[in-house]
Amino acid sequence: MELVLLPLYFGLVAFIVSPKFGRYFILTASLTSLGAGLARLFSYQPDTYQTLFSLSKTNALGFSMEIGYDGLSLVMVGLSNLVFFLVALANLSKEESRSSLFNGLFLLMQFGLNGLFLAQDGLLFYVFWELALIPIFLILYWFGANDTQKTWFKFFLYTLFGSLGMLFSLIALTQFGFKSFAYEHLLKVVIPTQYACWIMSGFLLAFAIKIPIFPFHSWQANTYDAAPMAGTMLLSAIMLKMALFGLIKWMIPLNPVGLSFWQLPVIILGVVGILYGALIATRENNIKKVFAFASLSHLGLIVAGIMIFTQESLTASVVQMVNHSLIAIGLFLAANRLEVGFGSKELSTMGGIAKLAPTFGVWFGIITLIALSVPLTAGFLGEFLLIKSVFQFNLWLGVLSSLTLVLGAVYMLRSYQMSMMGAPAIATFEDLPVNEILVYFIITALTLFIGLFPEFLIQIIKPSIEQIILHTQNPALTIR
Amino acid sequence: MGICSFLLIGFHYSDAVKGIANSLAARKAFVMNRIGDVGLLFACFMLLTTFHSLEFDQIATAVDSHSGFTFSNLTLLGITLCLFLAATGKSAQIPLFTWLPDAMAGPTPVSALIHAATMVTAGIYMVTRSNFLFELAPIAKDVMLYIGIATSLAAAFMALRQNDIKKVLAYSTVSQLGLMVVALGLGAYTVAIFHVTTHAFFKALLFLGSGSVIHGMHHEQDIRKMGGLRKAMPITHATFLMGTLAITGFPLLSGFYSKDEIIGHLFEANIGLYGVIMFSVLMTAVYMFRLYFLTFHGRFRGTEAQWSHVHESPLNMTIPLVILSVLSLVGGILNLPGIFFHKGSHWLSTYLNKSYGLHKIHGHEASPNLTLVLMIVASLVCLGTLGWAYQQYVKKGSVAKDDQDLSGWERLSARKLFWDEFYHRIWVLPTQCVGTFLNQKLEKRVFLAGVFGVAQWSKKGGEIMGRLQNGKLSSYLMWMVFGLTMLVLVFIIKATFWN
Repeated sequence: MELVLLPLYFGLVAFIVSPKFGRYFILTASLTSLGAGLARLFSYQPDTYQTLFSLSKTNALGFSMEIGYDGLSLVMVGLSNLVFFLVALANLSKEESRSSLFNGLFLLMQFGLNGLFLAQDGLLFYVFWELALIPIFLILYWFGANDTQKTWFKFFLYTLFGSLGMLFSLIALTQFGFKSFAYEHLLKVVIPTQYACWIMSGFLLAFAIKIPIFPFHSWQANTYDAAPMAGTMLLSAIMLKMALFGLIKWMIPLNPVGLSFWQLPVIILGVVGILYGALIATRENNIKKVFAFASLSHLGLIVAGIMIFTQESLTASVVQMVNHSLIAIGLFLAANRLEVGFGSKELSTMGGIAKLAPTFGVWFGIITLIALSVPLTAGFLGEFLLIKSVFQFNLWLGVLSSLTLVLGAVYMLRSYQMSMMGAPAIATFEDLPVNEILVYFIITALTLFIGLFPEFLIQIIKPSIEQIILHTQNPALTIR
Repeated sequence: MGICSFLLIGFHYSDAVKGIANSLAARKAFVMNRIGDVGLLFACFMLLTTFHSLEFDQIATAVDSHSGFTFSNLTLLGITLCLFLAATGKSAQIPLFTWLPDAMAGPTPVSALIHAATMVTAGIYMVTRSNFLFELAPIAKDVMLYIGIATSLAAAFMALRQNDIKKVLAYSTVSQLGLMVVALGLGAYTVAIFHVTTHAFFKALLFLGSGSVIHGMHHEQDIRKMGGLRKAMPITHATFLMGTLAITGFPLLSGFYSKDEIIGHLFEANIGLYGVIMFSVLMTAVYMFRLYFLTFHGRFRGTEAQWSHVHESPLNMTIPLVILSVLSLVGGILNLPGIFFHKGSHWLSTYLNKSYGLHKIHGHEASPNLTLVLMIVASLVCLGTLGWAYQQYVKKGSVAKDDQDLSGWERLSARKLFWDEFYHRIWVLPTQCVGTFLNQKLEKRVFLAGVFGVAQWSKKGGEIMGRLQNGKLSSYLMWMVFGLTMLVLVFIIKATFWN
């Protein structure tokens, strides 16, 4: 229970903590949550389910309030806590971390996300889904770049509009079955075939906008661009993981029949997203947007992997989700340092930083290589298995998706070289402070650890994925 | 290796003049190799789907025994072609060779180590390792044979009119790698490895020699500004001459034996192709002797100031040169042909034949007479060219022309057949155009405008609906009557037509 309540408690306290200590408070708070998450992770017995809280029976509305975790949920909560800690650490020297308002919202968002990953009840999932959105919207609204309020409303309304689809689908699901939102009840619902496609469409709308899947991505680049650094990191590193998690845990298992309608179209959209994002990233001049489109490209592959829905592709998707979170933090941290140093986000105005700030040059280079999924990193494992899955699903989609390797090298090296190499375009450039070095170090260590010892992660998520797949093959089997 | 290569090529990244160009060369090398990696990736996928393993010996056993695995020739062809694509990336063959000449932006010892002797031979090694797959895919072997010949010819031609000392050697490397690929295409895997070895000796020697020259000339790489350096740099001169003789196939030096073996195999397979490859060998001799004479003979063509600074390199640079030149001289004994002593000949091939797959491919040996004839032909080509080049560059004192004086074919050679321009047109520009189009047009005009459009529509809708709520009783009454009438109409129509 502490996984959910700690961030809530800290979040409420953060509003009244003096701004002077705010940033140390937020760091301690997120570190405590991380510790709690890690304690759970290391004491977890694979292939078990742990209930944290549950009403003994569902109430009149069909609301069971159950919270608990299996391997997959636990990994996602662990990732969420890790991301919040890293973002807090990276944000230590920023102005926002001195505001109680910011800190409170930050931790409340963590509360929403942890709750979402642990929810074992459809309505609860929906509530946390919306709950996580409100703090980030307010963070963007109050702390984002000036004159961008319109962007935030667009983002907010767009995702809200998507969530509506999910709500309809969830309500529809209860109508065919037990009048209950409990996950185990929802799993047993037998959906008439003629509605399966529509019910999945509702979920898909919510998730496709949040991830985003091409062509629902139009909010992404501008939002990432105008958001404060912590906001961009949170959006790309963890917000969109809730949608990917939703695909794996909620959308498909609840409605295996619907998969046959949507599998091919979504995989194709995923592959289109890979190429679309990568091609734009090779030509974009704004470094934050380059990374936003790179993210679109990476996520296209993950979405395709999830929709292929085999043991291997799902495992690889989860590994790649973790990897992408870490990379996103590293890349946007580097982008922010460049933006602050140059007073501009335009790559064409940059150059030669590696000479002025060698430490930054090295760490940004390492993150670039990790983002390129070089061997020994988690990304190599994830991309190898994902492209293999796509390849086995369809030869030509596999060939197209493998272009991400080539185009990825082009846009990552382009942004690195344009900013770091050549003759210096500026007189002085501040090198990395200690907290940022620490962030880069943790990211590097973790991606290498997962790349070298993937079993640690895989043994935790594998039983959950096995059960989900068994359930979709034979809906009579329940998960757990 | 791709990463090391990338980082080392881009080593001089902050150079004010060439920093960006060096970085671009590094990126080009990485991206080109990535294309090859995609080939390797797909070969792995196909191997995994077919044999459920990526271990060489397990796949070899599966291929041999046919037990429990079904695979078609088409699958094998796909696997081998994908593997070969990876090899063309690493070992700089057509179509992915263009990165290697640009990679000369890196420091010279790097060029000597990874872009001449070690990394670029990874593709050759990989194909040799996978020999059991290639043996079952004759089409893939033919592809290798022809790609190897084409690369060898094209690169040798391009080297004819390069004026950068390192660029000449780079094209020469591509050309020699082409020869190794020819050997692979003929199924003479051990011969390819033999040439890899001797090539490592003399090409590392040549690169380090060129490094010594560049060092002595204070970062001057243009051979048009050199000449007569043999007096100022005697050790570099002597060792460079040894390397030149070895690569051109001067009798009894290491390159002579290894090249001769490849040519011998080719002669037995296809006499026409033998002629073609002999032309490539001839061109090799021409550009190498041109390089040697223009650098070390004749009069000095640089400035007075440069000449006063030219000096022999320190011992730590010359000792490796001496060691490598000894190896270039005697490296051939690793795999002597049988015509001299039968006992102890082909030591390397015999040794390598013990490794997996190769033991099944019985290396047959050409008849001693044929070997002798071919050796004599090759020697004549080398010696003839040496004589011609001496006449041309030392006696007549010809020098390299300036760019604007080049004739048609010379321009083609100097601009490497406009290969980079060609790739730029067919790959880089279209990708950039598409990227720009998506970014500037589609993204902004369609997706952003689309979402705004929807928002505008709903706003408009709200305004229209809002106007209905105008507080006038008469208007409400009118709409009520209108609605009722419509309802009645619907019922009447329904009753009339749907019954």
